[in-house]
Amino acid sequence: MQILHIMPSWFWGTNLVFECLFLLFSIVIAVYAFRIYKFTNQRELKIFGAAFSFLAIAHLILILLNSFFLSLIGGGFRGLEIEEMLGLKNILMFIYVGFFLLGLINLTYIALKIKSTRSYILLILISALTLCCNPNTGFSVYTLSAIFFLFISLYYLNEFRKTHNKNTLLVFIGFALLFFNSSLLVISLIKEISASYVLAYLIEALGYFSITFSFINVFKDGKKKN
Amino acid sequence: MSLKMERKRTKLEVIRDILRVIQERNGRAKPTRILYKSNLSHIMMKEYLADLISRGLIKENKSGDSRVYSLTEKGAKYLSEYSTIANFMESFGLNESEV
Repeated sequence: MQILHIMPSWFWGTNLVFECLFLLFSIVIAVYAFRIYKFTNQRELKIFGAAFSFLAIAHLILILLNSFFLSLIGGGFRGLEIEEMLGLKNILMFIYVGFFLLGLINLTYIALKIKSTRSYILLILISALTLCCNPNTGFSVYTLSAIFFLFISLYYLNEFRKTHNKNTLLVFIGFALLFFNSSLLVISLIKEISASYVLAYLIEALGYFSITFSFINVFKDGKKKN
Repeated sequence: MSLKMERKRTKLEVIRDILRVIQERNGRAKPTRILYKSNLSHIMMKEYLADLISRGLIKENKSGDSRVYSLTEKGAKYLSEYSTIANFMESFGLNESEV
């Protein structure tokens, strides 16, 4: 039996609002990254834009899935059991996992600061094999996410040390919070604590807010200098 | 006596410098002017100019043997938004050094 989420029923609906916000943040950042890519043709921007595009698609799929379940499920604690879902929902759930991890892989690849297609493929293969070989999909997803977010946040911490750019610090804080979010989700699965899931959602929201706030600051600072 | 090494420019900075040279000459500049002001080698300048033409940031106007490079609307937009672009690249750790 595969469990991806253990969510208290009272949180159904609220999580949709969060997912819509995450979708919006991801789209805005992706669109701007691609816009700058048209000017600069810099590879990192294309990968960065792709990363947030994949994350946006993942959030969109989760919104669709959760909207469906909101109409069906009510009362008490519920687990989303992948094996018991209808075929289409199973496929959607795995597509969500695929896009989510692809987004993180792209961000991790940028953090590696290398130009190697083989390394990129290796990251994808390791993630795919981890998912396929471990019967507990939820555990695999969140553990992989935690590892990727940790690596990405340490990269931004290092960048902040070099540049002392306050926006980079905000980005570091954002990804560090997303690392904590993934870690909490692992704990919520192991201990079957639904409250951890809610707390993880709140931390994820703070993480995205921090990254988006940094993005907004970039425009505010840019307008002053331009 | 110690020599102070200047930090390598990023690609964004090099592009900005080239576009500024053209902008300062009323939107049109000859290659020698760009070479002198942008602080690049001849080969690097040629590569950058070809790249900027392919991206639509500048245009090449040939008249017999002479060439003049002019700033496009897209190139002017790049210059006007340069600070925001550079800040975004730095904030999100997307810079790379001049190659």
